[in-house]
Amino acid sequence: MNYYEKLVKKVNQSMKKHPRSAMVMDMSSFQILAKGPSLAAVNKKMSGKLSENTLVFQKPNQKAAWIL
Amino acid sequence: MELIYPGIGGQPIIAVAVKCGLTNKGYYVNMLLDTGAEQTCFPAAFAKEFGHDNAHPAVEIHKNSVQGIFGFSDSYIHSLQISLLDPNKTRERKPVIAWTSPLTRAPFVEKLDCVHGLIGMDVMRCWKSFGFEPNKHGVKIRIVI
Repeated sequence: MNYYEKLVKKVNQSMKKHPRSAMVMDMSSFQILAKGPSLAAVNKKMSGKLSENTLVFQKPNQKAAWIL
Repeated sequence: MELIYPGIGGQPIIAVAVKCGLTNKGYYVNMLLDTGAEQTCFPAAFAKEFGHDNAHPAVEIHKNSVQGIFGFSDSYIHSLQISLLDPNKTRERKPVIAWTSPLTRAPFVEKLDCVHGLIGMDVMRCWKSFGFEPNKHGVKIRIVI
């Protein structure tokens, strides 16, 4: 398994564990640095510390059909 | 060159590298490969994350310039560059860029409510081919550049 596949696996696991949260993950340690109900909430928690080594994500709301 | 990505969250979403045109700082961000989108774009809330300010007087605002399931929406135009990561060569703290889009500006859409950007046909048209291969884990994305 290469690094990218490991990253996707960790993101998917985190989405499953926290299905309602937006999260910021450290791309090296795969640790969740902040989580909250929305992108704005995690941005606030990180107080501008999003960096070249973080990834923001959130599981799509399963109650609503996603039709982007 | 062929790039194969597992889709994030079982969707055709990949992690890409985005460089802010103002600060030259780089970020990772998830983006949905959206063949129904004419333009590559981001939710307006992402601007702050990239170091942009939608409220700055110099920012170009396009009124009702974007249309989607939300109706019409304003968008804020910011400078940035989007690059595809090489999924085989990228390592921890060492992103390897496989391809960089010629796009230098993108709209940040007020009413777009999601935590990822959209890669639209303006970018995908630059690739030789791309495809989605469903599997039991979700979807595999194949891009030929």
